Amino acid sequence: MSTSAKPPPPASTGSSAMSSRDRSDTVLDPVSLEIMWQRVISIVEECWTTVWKTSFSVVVGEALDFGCEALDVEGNVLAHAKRSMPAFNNALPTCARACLERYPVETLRPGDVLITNDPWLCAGHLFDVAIITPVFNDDEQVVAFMGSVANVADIGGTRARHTTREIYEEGLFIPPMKLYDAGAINSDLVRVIEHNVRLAPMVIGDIHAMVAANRLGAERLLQFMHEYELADLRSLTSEVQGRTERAMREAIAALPDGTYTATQWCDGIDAPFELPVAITVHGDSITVDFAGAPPQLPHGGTNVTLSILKAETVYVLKCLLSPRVPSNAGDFRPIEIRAPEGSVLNCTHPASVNNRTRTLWCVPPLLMRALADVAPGNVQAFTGFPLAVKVYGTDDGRPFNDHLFQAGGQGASAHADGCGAVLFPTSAGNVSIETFETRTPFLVDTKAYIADSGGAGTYRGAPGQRVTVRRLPSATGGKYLVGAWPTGMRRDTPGLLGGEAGTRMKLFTDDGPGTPPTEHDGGVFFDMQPGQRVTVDLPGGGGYGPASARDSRAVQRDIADGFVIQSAEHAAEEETR
Amino acid sequence: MNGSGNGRWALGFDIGGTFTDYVLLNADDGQMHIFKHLTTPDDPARGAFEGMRMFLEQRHLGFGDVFLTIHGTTLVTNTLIERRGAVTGLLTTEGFRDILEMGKEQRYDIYDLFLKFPSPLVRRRHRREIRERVDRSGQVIVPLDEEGVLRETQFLVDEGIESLAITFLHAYAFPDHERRAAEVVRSAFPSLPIATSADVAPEIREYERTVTTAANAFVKPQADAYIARLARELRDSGMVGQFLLMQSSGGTTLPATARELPIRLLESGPAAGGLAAAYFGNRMGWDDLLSFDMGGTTAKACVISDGVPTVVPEIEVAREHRFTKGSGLPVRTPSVDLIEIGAGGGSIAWIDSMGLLKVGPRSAGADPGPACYGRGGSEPTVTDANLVLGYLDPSFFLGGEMTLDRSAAEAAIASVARPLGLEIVEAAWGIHELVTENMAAAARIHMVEKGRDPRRLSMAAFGGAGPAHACRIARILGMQHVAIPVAAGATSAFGFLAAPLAFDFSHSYPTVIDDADWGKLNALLSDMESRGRDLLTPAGVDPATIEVRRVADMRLLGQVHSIEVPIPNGQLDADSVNAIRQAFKSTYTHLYRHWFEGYEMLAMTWRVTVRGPTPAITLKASATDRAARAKKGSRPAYFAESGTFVEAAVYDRYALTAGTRIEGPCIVEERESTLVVPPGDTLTVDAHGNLRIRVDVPDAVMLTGGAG
Repeated sequence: MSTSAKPPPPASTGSSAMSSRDRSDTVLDPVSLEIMWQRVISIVEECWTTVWKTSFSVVVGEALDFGCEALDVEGNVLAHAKRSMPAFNNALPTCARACLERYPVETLRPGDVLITNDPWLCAGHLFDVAIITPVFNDDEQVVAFMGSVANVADIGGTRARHTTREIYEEGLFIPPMKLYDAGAINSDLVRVIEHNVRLAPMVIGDIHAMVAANRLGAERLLQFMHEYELADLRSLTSEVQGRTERAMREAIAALPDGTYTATQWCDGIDAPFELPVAITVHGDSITVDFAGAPPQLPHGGTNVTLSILKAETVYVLKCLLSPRVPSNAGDFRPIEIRAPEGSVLNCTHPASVNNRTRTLWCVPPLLMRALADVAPGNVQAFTGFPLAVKVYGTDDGRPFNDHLFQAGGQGASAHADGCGAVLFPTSAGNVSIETFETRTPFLVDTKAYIADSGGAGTYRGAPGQRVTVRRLPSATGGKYLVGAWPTGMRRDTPGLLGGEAGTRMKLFTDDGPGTPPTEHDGGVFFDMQPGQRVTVDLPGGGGYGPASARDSRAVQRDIADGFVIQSAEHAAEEETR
Repeated sequence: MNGSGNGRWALGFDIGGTFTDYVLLNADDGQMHIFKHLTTPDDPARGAFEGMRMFLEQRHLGFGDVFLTIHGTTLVTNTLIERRGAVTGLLTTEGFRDILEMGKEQRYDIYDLFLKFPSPLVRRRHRREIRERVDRSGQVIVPLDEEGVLRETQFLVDEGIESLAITFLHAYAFPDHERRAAEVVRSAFPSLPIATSADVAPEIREYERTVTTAANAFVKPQADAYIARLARELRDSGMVGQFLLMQSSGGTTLPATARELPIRLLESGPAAGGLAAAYFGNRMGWDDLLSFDMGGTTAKACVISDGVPTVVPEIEVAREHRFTKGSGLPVRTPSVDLIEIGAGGGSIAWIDSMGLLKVGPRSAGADPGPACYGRGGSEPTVTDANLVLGYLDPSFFLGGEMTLDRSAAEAAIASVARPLGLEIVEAAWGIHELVTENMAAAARIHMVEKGRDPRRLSMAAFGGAGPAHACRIARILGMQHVAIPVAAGATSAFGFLAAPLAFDFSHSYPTVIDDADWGKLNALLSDMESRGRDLLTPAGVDPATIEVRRVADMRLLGQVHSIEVPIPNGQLDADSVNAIRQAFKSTYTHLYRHWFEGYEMLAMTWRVTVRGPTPAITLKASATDRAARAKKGSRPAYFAESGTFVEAAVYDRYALTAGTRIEGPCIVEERESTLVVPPGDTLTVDAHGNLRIRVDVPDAVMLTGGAG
């Protein structure tokens, strides 16, 4: 397969014709700018669709744990797809710049495709593989990059993710390399990948989905440049990034100057710890300082790299301050992010990182808590953590390896109750029960909201959900590994501005109905026996504002629908049955 | 009045938001007539019958002359959007009553913390759990608790539910528990309407199947009463011919099926628009085209491949944000694959927080309408821009029924021009260009998702605003041919008459192709086929003309999404594996231009369409006796190519004769719309009265052999 990003030259517009009519430096009027900007967004949307439709794993194709974007020549974001995984969007620039350090732009050739999964350069754990494809103009100069990141289903290493002490145990580490060199695939690298990951066809298939998406995006971008007679994208880039930056600066300037602090607990591994933050607003810029974050943890994979910390932080500030303006590098410029080196939020190699979300997902509620007093209408109470139950093994001679994703309850806000089970801060989706059962030898006994789990408040948090999984009775003779590494188990999900807490995450195992459940205070990983069950109670969302101010009709409706069960009402309902 | 004795007439009528459109077509000599009547929103059937009587009288016909009446309705869609359906209850597998409300748990806008989802069609109190469970291979894990079915239904009936949905896990393949539960309910509550998922949408994925079943139950009582009443009134009026209803799949169906599965009527109007475009495309020798319909509020586009609109198994309805994927309810029912774009004549231009000009998706609609309507609208719209640019004649809007106020349009546009530092004309051009670009971008993504290169397609454009933008859109997309068909004013109603009688069935049976149980597969395929034949034959379709199409949703083992792959007819066995593999590979590579060896192939859902013949419509060639006064005059119109206003010739469409050839810039007016032909493009009129434009596509966009 050729991966050249260069389409055949158009019939009658050679590069000489183009440069003589080059409009790259033209000052763009508001109409042309809007048209061109939307076009670039529509190109990255096509890339996103390509990865989605051609992916091989549930984690990419169903849970949508991937992202696509276009980057400028310096590796800054130009546009990303609308449902792109937020943290990936913001991590790709770091990744692209690192790749360019290794392969300076002037050494790149048409047909090159770069790859890396370095957690310090990209998205924080080895599962996230980035593919970066340079886009060449007719003069064979690089004018942009197309980038994609996907969470592949396996990257080798141990399946017991909570046991790792160093990155070396977590799987295959791919530094910035060429996956394709001038159109020729790096078959040595592919063989190394094939021999280091489980279900290699699934992993290689997902990598190819990204290669194809980037290639398509590069072709489209070039076609767009021909149409508009652009030899490069400099003016367009500086205009769109400038406008996004101005919108972000205006939103920041609307906040009162000052330093706003908060702390947020995290489960940690052996003991919980607190993450602190100090957000300083000065004029139209913001400094987010995580000084005081505890030292990186020696085992358990809950350490966060600076690259993904910055990505998540910018994402949350974007949601709070400038959500309706298309995102690009302009959003980063007014924001400075610091975290002490060697801390759990800026860990150093070779720290273990494969459960990084257990810490990283505490950052959004931490930032919202810090800004709640100055921007009460923009924030949202803590959303219950999501969880993927991971199953892996063989059954009837066939290997399986899938994730059963589900969300906690959404936190409430000044505007509404939490709107249900919604995955946050990831933008993933859940996995259909019937799809999961058809692909794996497991049976889901329950997937239902838990009464009284959402935090009360003027607006209440959405309820958490209970999911129970057991081995299919007819499945025997294979290997049925189940792993779950939840977070948010040690404390309830806090409310905001007087709202009450939602329930915490709980994890149980038992030997079937009627047997006593064992509650776990950490992750589990075991070969599931017939009759055994694992039950996850995902957390409810936090409430917002005092419950005393809640509309009584909303309370009545919650009781009627069984989201809230009061004892008297409960008895009455039982009687009618 | 009892007919003028001049042949057999087919009548199509389409009840829209503002107008009810009618088409009468003479099956013998191809004469066609079009009529419009105001819709009566309080009781649409009343206005529809009024108009029908007036139209027939006008043509000197009686109900007795009509041998076929085909109707399409937005009733089902509107019932869902406006939540005016029945109070609905749901019986579902124990442990899963919240599936309907949880949905996909995914945020469709990653930056909007406060996004909303449509509320579930059945509230939690009315979702009741039944002890029962079947696994993926049909093993009964928990037997059906029939007493529980009775008890929970009694609870729901006491709560006042008017319709019941039943959805159990894995019932797409193993429907016994659902069927038995329905029997139990029916015997105890004989008048309660019931929808089971195995009947409505027997397809894997519990959320989508539950939504679809609940939606069918939700609209069923109203749709049932409406269809029964129409049939009765047609009969009482003296109509002896057949009465059929248009489905979103592009086929028509019998009233009895429509009353049982009203969810299949969802998007019948737009589907018929696609059929009409396919029909005209066929007459122009185009097998592959884009159907483009731009009205007052939205534009709709669909791809027609090999002469047939693309049909997809799912459609999203009742979106919280009309143009945002993922914000609505996914309904599994075969539907012509349309993209709806928030761009119409009424779309409003505005300036966003970054100082950029935007157009839509907010629309001034019909009331107050664009500023130039003079009905109180003051915001600048696409129609205002088109007026200022000279594309519309202020005194010939709706054929002169309405006068447009140019100074009001200019004032409205000045409100965006001033802050941007633009002249009014520059801003008007910006609005025209932006809305055109938005539509082109949306249509491009849609085509690419279908694996189609826009440059290989032609375009059929209609709708009130379509012809004013069609040539520009084609130019952006690299399409060289555009046509404005005759009947552009009542395209959907015409499309009904071009639709075959058709029944769609589906059944999930996930299997790796090499491991398929051929006996089981043959049985389920032939069961679907014979159910279709059993409906078509009594409806008067000659069994010899019945066409059966079979497809399977297939993927490479391990992949997450499927593509539809044609499956050969007849008995399948191990020898069919090669043919199925080849069909998959060829479909896959066509879509993604990308192939991997070494993967097993998995089929998920098997679909069978059983259809009668496509009606053979021969339109009478257009009259050529009014040639003399085709050119009405000229007026100044703005074209970016000239950078200024130039004098553009204006023609009357109805007076243009076959063979006429006109160079752009020019403007062609008809009652319902205005065609703008920019400089460089060339208009010709074909033998049937269709306007055909050869578009001057810029070199950079032009198709060059290998690309795409």
